[in-house]
Amino acid sequence: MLRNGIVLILLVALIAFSCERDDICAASTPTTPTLTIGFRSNDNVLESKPLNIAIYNKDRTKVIPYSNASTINVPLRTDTTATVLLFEKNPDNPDAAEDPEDVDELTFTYTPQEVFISRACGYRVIFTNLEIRNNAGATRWIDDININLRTVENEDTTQVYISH
Amino acid sequence: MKILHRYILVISLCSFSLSTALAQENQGIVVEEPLETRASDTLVDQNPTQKYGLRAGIDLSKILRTFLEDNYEGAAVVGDFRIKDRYYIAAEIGRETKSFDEAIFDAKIQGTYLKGGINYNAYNNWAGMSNLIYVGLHVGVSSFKTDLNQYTIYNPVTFFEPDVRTVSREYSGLNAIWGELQMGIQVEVLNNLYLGMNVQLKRMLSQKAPDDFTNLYAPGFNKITFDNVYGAGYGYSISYLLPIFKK
Repeated sequence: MLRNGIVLILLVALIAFSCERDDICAASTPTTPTLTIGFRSNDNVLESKPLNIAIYNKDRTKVIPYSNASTINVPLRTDTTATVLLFEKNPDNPDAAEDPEDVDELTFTYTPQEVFISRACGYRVIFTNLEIRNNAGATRWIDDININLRTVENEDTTQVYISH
Repeated sequence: MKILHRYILVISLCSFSLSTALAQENQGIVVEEPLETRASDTLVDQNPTQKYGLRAGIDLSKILRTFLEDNYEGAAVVGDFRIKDRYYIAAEIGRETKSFDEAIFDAKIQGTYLKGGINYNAYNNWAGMSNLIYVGLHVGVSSFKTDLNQYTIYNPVTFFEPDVRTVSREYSGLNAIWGELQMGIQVEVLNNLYLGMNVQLKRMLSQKAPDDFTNLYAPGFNKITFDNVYGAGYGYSISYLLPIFKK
């Protein structure tokens, strides 16, 4: 009887500890969002116009390439209030007939806001008061930048439209 | 001040159980002799003498984990008092410190807890034996604080270097209340000296968490998982029975 009791207790212990959940941040949990940018035609701002584009950080050590994309997602720095990104149109074709000067430098400024999500995911940052400046000068390929929503807290909404 | 009071209580209970252990050893052997002769000379079913008293001891698992685990420190005093043939009032008081050095945060929780409840002994002892296989229903309360030392902003995109933030936030005045189902055994290994082990299934009843953080752990309850009220624990104890009267 005593031995049975010990076996029973060990069994309960095994069940109790195997039922303990692992804390893994589910991919479906909204964490730090990226900025969603849609590309529109400069002739008709309601018409989407896909393009080949590569996004670089300022010193060109990291790249996110997109091909034939009408919507892209770009990351924003969470530790400062500004992010500088290089937008290169037609990256594999620098001599394209259209837009030969094909790199525009954009500065995104915003207020980062820290939000606690959960034990598994920790903290995320959302961005408010978004503003964008094109530093490319006269040689820009971007015609116009329209901010649809100044708060970036998810990736369901296209916050910015760029016409080209 | 509160923590200091609890320290004093724990220390005094410890020294009390130790001193009773030393004082009672010789008397205990005298008591055992008539029981042995009775068990061997008769087959008639008669009620043997049962010892009633205060059993007090310490949690060995917490001491062991303090030495073995870098991120854990703990100590607890356990005790029970037999009130009826099969029923015991049981209590546990302890203190735990637990550190979490995880990818997304580095935090330390420290505090004290108190558990109390009723144990039911389901074991039918042979004459002269007094072992326990018990189930118990307990309520636990815990008071603790959390120090958040560092955290990393969760970002699935690794385009920029990780945003690691070193802070020193202290969330104090946190607490937790839970119900606990215990299953355990107590085996008398020497006269009046018991080794025990138990497992605990817990259900959180209420907790006070920080506004911009969560409770990772509650002393006495163990790990708290998000969106889940259940928890588990175990204990190994060594305790000494101070017999007060016999039936």
